[in-house]
Amino acid sequence: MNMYLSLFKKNLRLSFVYRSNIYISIISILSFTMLQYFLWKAIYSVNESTEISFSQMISYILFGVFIKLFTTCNISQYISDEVGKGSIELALIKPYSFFLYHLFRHLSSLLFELISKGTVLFIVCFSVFSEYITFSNEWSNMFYFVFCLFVAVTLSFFLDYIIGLISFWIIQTWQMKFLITDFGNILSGYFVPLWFFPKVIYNISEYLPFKYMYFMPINVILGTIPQSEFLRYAIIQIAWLLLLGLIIMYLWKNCRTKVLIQGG
Amino acid sequence: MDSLWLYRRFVIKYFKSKLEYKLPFAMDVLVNILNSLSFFAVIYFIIGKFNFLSNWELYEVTLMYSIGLFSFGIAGTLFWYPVTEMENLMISGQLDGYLIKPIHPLFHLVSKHFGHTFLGQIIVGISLLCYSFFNLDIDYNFTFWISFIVLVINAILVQCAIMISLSPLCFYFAKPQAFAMMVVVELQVMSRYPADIFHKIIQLVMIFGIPYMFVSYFPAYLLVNSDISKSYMLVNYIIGPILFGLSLLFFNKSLRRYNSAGS
Repeated sequence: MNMYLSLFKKNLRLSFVYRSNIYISIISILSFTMLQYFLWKAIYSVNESTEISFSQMISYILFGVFIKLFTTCNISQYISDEVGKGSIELALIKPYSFFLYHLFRHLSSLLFELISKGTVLFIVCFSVFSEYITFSNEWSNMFYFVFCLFVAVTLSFFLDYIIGLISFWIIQTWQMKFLITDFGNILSGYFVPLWFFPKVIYNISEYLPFKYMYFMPINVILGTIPQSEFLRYAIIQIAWLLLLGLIIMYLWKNCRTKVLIQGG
Repeated sequence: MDSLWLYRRFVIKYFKSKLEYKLPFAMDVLVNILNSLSFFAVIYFIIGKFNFLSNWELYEVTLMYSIGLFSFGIAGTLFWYPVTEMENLMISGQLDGYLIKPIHPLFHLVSKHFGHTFLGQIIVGISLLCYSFFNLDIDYNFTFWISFIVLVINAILVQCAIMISLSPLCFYFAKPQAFAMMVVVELQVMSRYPADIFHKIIQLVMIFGIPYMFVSYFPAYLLVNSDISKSYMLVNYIIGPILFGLSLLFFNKSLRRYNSAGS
């Protein structure tokens, strides 16, 4: 465990050395937030949506900014680079668990994102839009939100790790990552909240993992999901965690026999 | 004419090397098709649910979106590589190789790397253009087509100009890559929405700063509203070549700042 903790610290320090791109990425997140704000403002000025109020919509966008920070994961890029260059060989013969190594790398980069971007975004967003923010202050929602957040982070890591493991077979994974990100962006409600989707797509999204990586935590904190539904959703969430966990175990068992070391 | 012949030779060679691996090639294009469609789905769902996006109807927004996407696709097949790789070429000193050839370095960069992934954007762009044309209620006469062709060419040239001016930024600042990506990805996507929903300051930035308004919003506006009351909108018919020329001047000027590096 000590080994992984020191890995965590080292990686965190490393991230702080290369921090030149933070400002730009903060600006690009803010510009996406702004785009959504103006879009919904224009829509709400013409239409009065019955179910969702404007302040709920803005809160959805703002909470979404932070959930997105938590659920961004770049492990697959890293693994597929290593497989492509052949340096995966070194990672496989070292005496640590491949899974835990990447988990702690990911956790340290999450903490870095939270410290570097999260604080700035928090101050900017919640001072500019403070009049619109609404959230549920019931304890059960708060507790379930923490669980949902945990599920969201874990699911996003698992999905990306699976893509990373698939690179043992197909080497280049960016297309696959792109594909899953695109599907995820639509079916998780990142571009348009799932409230406004046609019924069919909404029902499909219930049984896919993407919803639980973005839409679910936000809705729990907004209090738009009745508490009687919590148990049903928790079962789906745990089922997805188990399923992805099993897929990872299966892939990991097989990928070491498939590995092809490139280069020399 | 010589350069066209040369470009053709380069592209043929590029395709020969890429088509060696057919599945990844198909995947590259397919993924980009789905990516562009996913952005369109947003507009489709929103307008399907809410009917109006500040006086713009679905097919008008589709027209706007498809002009933006199509011009982005064409510009990307040509100039994407210089935007993404110029920084690495400068740091590793490989740009030397381009400077000593008897053709213009930008032309060499462009012809060496055909952005085949952008075929996806072009395909979706053209199909959405057709989709909106079949459904729009416009008088398709001769002047409309002339106006359409001129506007699309201008849009393509503006997109090219933006990409050309982004590529030599690395001679001025350290690590401009993320900035260039932000402009090309985030702002570009913003420009495909009806720009009148945005704050005035953002509109001004998108006219005078990074002129994405000329790519999709103004052309679609001119095509849909046949009576042009605002005469300054006519700038749209000539803005492309002007910006393209200016960006080439900027590129040439920046290139002089390059000091060779590496070995």
